[in-house]
Formats: sequence, C-alpha cells, structure tokens
Amino acid sequence: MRIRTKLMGLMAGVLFGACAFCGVFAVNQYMNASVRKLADIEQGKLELAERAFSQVGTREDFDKMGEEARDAYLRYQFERCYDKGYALLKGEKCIKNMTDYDIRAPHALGDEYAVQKLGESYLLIMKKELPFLEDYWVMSVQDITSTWEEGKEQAGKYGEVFLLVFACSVAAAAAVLRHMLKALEELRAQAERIKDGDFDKKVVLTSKDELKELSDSLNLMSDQLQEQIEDLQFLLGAMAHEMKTPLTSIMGYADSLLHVRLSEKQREQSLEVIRRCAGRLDQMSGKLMQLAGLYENEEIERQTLDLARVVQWVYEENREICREKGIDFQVSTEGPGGKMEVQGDKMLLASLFNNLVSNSIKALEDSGKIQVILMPEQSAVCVRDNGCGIPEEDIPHVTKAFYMVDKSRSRRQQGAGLGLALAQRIVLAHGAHMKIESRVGAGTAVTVFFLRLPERSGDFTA
Amino acid sequence: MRDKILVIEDDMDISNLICMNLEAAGYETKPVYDGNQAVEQIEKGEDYDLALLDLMLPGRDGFSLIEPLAGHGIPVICLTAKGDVVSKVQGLKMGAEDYMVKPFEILELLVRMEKVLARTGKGGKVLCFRELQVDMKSRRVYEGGKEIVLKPMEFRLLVVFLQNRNVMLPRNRLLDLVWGEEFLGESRTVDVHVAKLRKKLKACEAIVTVPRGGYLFEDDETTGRGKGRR
Repeated sequence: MRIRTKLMGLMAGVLFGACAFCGVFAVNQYMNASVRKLADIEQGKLELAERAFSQVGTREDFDKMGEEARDAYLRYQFERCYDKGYALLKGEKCIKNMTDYDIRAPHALGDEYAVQKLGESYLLIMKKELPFLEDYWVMSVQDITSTWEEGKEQAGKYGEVFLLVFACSVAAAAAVLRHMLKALEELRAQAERIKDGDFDKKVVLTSKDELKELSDSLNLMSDQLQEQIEDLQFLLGAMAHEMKTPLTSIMGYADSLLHVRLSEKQREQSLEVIRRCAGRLDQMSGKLMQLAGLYENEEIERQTLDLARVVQWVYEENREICREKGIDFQVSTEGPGGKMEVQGDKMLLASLFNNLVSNSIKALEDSGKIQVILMPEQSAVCVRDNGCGIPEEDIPHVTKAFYMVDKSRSRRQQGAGLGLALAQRIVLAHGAHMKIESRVGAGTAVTVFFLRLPERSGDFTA
Repeated sequence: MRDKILVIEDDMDISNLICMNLEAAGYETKPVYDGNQAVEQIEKGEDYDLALLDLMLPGRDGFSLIEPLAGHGIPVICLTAKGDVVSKVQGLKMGAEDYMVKPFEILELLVRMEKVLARTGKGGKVLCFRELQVDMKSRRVYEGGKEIVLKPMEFRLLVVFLQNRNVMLPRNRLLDLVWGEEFLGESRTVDVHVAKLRKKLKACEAIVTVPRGGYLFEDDETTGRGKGRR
C-alpha cells in the first residue's frame, strides 16, 4: 500500500473516532440532563400534591377505617388532589388510575425514574411512597416525547456538524499530506532521473525540513555523478582518439607491406614505424593501467623515504638522455640543508619525478636547462625548465588525461598525454599537492608540496 | 603526366604512409604538415589535382581549409579519426568530395581517389607506361605508336591496373571494380581477360600473378626500384 493511502486511512480513522466519541458523549450528556430536569420538576409536583394529599387524614384516622372504606376514601381524595397522569398504587395493585395507560409490574421501577418507550412516544415514569400510609404509592406517568424528540433533533444537528468538521479536517489533512508527499514523489522522480542518467534537472523544494536536506544531498550527488561521468567520457573519447593514430599507422603500413610492391628500404621503414607505434600503444596501456590502479586503489604502500635519494635515482635515470640532447640537468638544494623525509611509495614517487622530468625534456627543443630543486624548509620539490612553457588558459587542464596543449608537438614527441594526469594522481595519493607555474617561452616550474612529517627521534632512512 | 596530390596530414607516419603508397601507385605527392603550409601551397598557385585533408590539424582547423581548396578547383577528400555523422555531413556540406575514416585501407583510398578524379574531370587524360599510351577521353590504346583494339572490359581492366600500379589486386576486387558489384561471374573471368591483355599488349607482361590470389601491375619507375626519377 502506498504511504499516502496508509497515512490518509490512519488519519481519517483517528479523526472519525475522536469526533464520534465526542458527539455521542455530548448528546448523551444533554439527554440525561434534560430528562433529569424533567424528573426534578415532576418530583416537585409530586411533593406539592403529596402535601395536599397528606391533609386528608392522619395515620390514626386511616388506621381506624376499615380497609374497604379507606381505599374508597383515598380514591376519592386522590382524585381531588391529583391531576391527570397520576395513579395510586397499593402494593402491587393499582387502586386509582388517572393515566392514559395500563400499569403493569410497577415493582420493576427502581427508586428514581425511568424512561419507557411506548409505540411512538416516550414516557417518564416515577413513583413515590406516601409517607403517612405504608405500602401506598403514587405513580406519575408523563409523556416526554417532545423533549425526547428535541434531543434527537439536537443529536441530528450535532451529526451534521460532526460530518462537516470531519470532512474539513480530512480535506485539510489530505492537502498537507499531499504537499509533503509531493516532495517525496519529486525526490523519487529525481532518483529515477539519476538512474536514467539525466543530470540536468534538479529538485527544488521550498520547505526547510529534512526533505529539503535530502533533496540538497540528492542534487549534490547528481552534480558530482555527472562530473565524474563527464570526466570518464572525456577520458574514453580521448583514449579512443589517441589509440586511433598509432592504429592507423600500424594498419596502414601492415596493409602496404601485404599488398603493395615496396622497395626494400620502404619495407624496412614500414616495419620500423609499426614497431614504434605498437610501442606507443604499449606505453599508453601501461600508463593507463597504472592510472586505473591508482583510481581503484587509494591505499598505497607507505614507508618513510628520503626524497633526496628518490630524486637522485631519477637523476641517474635521465642523465644519459639529457646529455645526448645537450640539456643541462642539475639537482640542487635550496635553503638550509637537512633530510627531507616523507611517507610514501618509492616506485610511485620515482615515477612522479620521472614524469615531470621527461615532460621538461619534451618541452626543451635542444640545449635547455632542467633543474630539480629540493626545498627542505617547505618540504617541497620543484622541477623547473626553460622550455616552451604552457599557455595560461591551458594550465588548469594539463592534469587531465590525454589533454594536449599542442597536438603536433605531443605527437612528434611520442607522448601518450598521460604523464601529468598520472603525476597528479600520485601526488593526491600521497596527500600532497602540485603547483604548476608556466609562461610561454620562459619555461615551466612544477612544485610538489608534501605533508611534513612530525619530528622523529629515531633514525629512519629508506 | 602523373596526377599531383596535396597530402595535408600532421602525423609524420601517416603522411609518409599515404605518400609512399600513392607514389607506388603512380601519383605524385606533396606532403604538408599543418594548415598554414597548406594555405601557402594553395596561394602559390601550385596546380594540384586532388587534396587529401586531415581534419584535425595544428595551426588551422581542417574544416576551414575545405573552402579555399575547393575554391581553387582542388577536389578534397577528408581523412579523419572523427567517424561521427555530424563531422561527415559538415565536411561534405562544406564542399568535400568524399570522406574517409581512419584507419583506412590503401586500396579503398586509391579507388575513391580515382572516382573523385574521374568525377571532377581532374584525372590524367593519358595514362602512360613504357611504350603504352592509354587515351582516357577517346578510349583508345596505343603501343609503340600503333593502335591496339581492346574490348570494353579489357580496356577497363587495363585502366584499373594502370591506376593501381604496384598494388596487389585480389580477383574479387577486380571483379567489383571492372565488372561491377552486381556481376555474378566467376573469378576465372578475370584470369581470361588478363590473359587476353597479356597477349594483346607487350606492356602487360608487367602484370604479375600473385600466389595468394591476385594480380599486381609492376612499375619499377614509381617504387624507386628502377633507374627512374625517384
């Protein structure tokens, strides 16, 4: 069953119960009160008549009379003192009846009064023992149909009011419920939209309650999901594109080798190109796998490392290439010396600085300068070159996978377009951050700021 | 005279690949590596019969080159990694004659180029090989100054060979190209016609049977094997 139906049912039930209880109670009270009032009046009348009746003789007088004579005398006096609607009883027997009704089983009547329904009319019946004669009773029978009818009419009116109030409150409750549930319905629709991949529409709730908070979270979730999906789509699109170029070469040259009559030299060149392009694809897949691994696995191996040693290792790796290209490659320390220790994965950090250095090599045409500067004071490492630089508008995007500032340059240098994306992931995985400063024509400086380790007394070296 | 093709492609490997194959097949090529160089070439007034244009170029967007090229009467075939319909439609709407998505097959590129050259009337009027001369307009064939009479299918087969020199042509592809795709003949038909060509023309000794099921028209002059111009 739907929440709305459930809540409506519950509410209507509670309202109906409450109203009905109040109504029945009030009508009942009213009826009792009016009957009691009538009974009181009747009681007064009875007492008044009784006073008159008591004048007709004393107890001694009656004791002297014979039973027959006493009854006849009482019957006569009773007729004088009482009006219509009263009867004189002797024990169980009715000796004088001035009511319009037959009297049967008067003993069934208790002390007080009773209301009896007779046909269409209602009767108020009372009886009272005469104080001066034992076992003689006066019974009063009054038609109170009009009062009774009035009560019923009152109950009817109350019923109408009850229905009206009930209907109004149910309608009001339904409106409030619908409003609240509409918000719920909108949230459900939003969740549905997110499921279907529609991130443009947002839920806008005006209320300031928990539902509003929920909708805000949902909107935020939708935004972030969209962003991630767009990043992924960009990555996939860029990857497909980047794969196409080497693939076109491989397929084209292979096709030529198979179907075209080429000179020996051309054949050799074709094979070389195929080999080189396959290598490029391999390099790309390796980097992608590394990237995917870092995405998946936030946990990295953490050991205390001396950054100077990592940088030294990277220096050894790249020294030969730089010498061949006539690049001046230096490692230096800025500020007061001292150990630079960080918590991290040795291989990943080496790969990070390797990527930065090889980017610098690519940025330098010939005979440039690359400096790796250790800054123990800020716990940072800077890789600086005086190469071609990055245009200002491209700087925020260079860490995206496959983003290439200059397509032709990148292709000529055989870069996969993943170096900085990978560097960024490694930096983030170490809780560090990376700052890229660059000017076209002047060069680029990439600085990685690491988390400072708390001072340790022990001697830890990687 | 050989048809001159302007190859506008920024990737060295792909540019070399196209030029190598086109030259082997008997075209003359001029590679340029970015949009600005291409514009220079057009403005120099060099007479090109066809341009192969990569749409993703550094410097200038490939799409913006279609109009100036077409304006100079150079038909354009777009080559690109973008396989989406929107790019295709945009390229064709802007005046490109044809569109090829990378990676592509060499033979398909050659066939499409011939189609475009024939359609735009840019193709060579006379195909030459040693003593052989084929006049495309009058559909006459001369060898050593003497006219040789060929049947229509023989003529078409000869033209296909001369337009795809040094490229291995499988029998079924020859059937498609010469007799049309609806033709339900056997590949034997090709063999019969090749045999007739070899008998009628001395130059057709250059048609070599390739063991894997095709024919190849050898022209050493265009591959750089002979003492030719290359």
